Amino acid sequence: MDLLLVVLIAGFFALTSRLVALFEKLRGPR
Amino acid sequence: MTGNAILQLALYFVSLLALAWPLGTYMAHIYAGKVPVFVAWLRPVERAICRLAGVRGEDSMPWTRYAIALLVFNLLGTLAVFTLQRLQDILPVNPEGLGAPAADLAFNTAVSFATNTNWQAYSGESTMSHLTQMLGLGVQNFVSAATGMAVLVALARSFVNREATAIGNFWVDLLRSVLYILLPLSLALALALVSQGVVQTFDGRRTVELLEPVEFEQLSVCVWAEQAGNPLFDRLGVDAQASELQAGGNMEGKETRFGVVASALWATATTAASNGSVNAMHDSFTPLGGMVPMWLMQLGEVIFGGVGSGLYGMIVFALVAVFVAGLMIGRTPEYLGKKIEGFEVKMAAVAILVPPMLVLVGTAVAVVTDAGRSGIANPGAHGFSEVLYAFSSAGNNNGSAFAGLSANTPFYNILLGVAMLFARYWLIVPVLAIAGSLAAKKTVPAGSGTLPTHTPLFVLLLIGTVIVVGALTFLPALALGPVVEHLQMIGSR
Repeated sequence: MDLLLVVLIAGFFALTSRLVALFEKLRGPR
Repeated sequence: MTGNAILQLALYFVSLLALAWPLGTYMAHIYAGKVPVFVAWLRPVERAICRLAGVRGEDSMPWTRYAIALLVFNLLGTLAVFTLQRLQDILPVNPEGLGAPAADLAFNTAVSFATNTNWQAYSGESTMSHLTQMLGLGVQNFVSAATGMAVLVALARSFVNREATAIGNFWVDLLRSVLYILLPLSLALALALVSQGVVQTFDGRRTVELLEPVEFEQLSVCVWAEQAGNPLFDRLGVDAQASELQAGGNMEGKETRFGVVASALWATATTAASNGSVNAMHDSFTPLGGMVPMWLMQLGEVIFGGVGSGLYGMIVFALVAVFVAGLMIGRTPEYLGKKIEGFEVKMAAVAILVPPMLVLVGTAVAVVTDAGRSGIANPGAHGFSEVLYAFSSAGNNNGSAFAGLSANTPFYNILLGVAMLFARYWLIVPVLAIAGSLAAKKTVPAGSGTLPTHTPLFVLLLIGTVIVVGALTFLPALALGPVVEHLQMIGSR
């Protein structure tokens, strides 16, 4: 259970870091 | 309303308004690196910490780097608090020999404190050891608040910077928030509390005599609804009239020391300001009295809101308001000298839609599953309100609890924990993206087609935007909970 929850936390932050990359791509070239 | 009640409310609003300007000016100086003389002695401490951590203050980051630094810092914070709780039974400073909280509760609490929600699914000091409270929860109370302040200052900087690729240094903003703002304020306020007899010791629990009840009387709809009391009690002949002997109104779940006004004031302040603490059981409020704190959270925590997050949330609504006004007058929307274009509006839409989605989907999942329904204390409309309140609190990082709902179950601990994570970081990322985009723009001088954003008209438009978005999103859910309950109550008169 502990390992599963640690993976859930880490997975969420990894997903959110992908969101950063996605939004930067959406902003387009400056 | 009595003179005592008016005095309490007046003191609250006067202190709030009187503190805003000096504190705001002080904070602006700190973030600009102009440290005032009376805290200049902390400058060497700031430099030493930066040197130790390898942080160079002049190293301004693009929004993407700023966001990643923030995420890494918060990830480590969450994992640290989780681990600390799971190991508390073998760690020192645990005079009562408290066992480690269950894994799902440790997850929920770690997320709650790292996201500055401070939702507590456990009962107070009988679950967490002194070490967990000091090293885990106490530290997160500072750094999670400082994270919100760092995002706000990055956004504020983006309006000032012109054609810049960077929005500031996350580590410097974080450190300055803690060192110059939160620590001095906490120290002063802690001393004030200690002077009033509130102490924290390393001893175990101690039982003390309660204070003598003090009489208080009757804010807003919440005060009115609570003071009106419950008509069903009237029918039973219960005396709920305010008198020299009692505060009157609906006193269920309230302390006689506080009465209706101080309970209603705290309930509205704690949900408008994302404080999260309670001094009365919101579950025991009348249906309309309980709807007010719920509605304040559902408006997106922007009235005062969370530390930093309240103001950046309101700025997001301001961008939507200038966009709507721009559509009405047929001009390119501008805000504080920056053109608001498609990217900013898309990011604002993400930031505004994420919390309601978490609240409504979370509530829906809870009321259609056995695991969700088993936590409800009261059947019917009130039970629905209990679930809606819990998700409104988690989905807006408020942290206050309605009570009534048995939320310390694996189902609620994990679902509410996930809601808190999304509510925090899926707002911070679009807000930082807006900061990055605005910082890169030129400043446009105000012209005849610029909508002034410092007028009462714009203030009305902004309030209208917040309320219309909030109302359109939540009225149907509120109708199923507190509104039905109110109608049932008056219908059975």
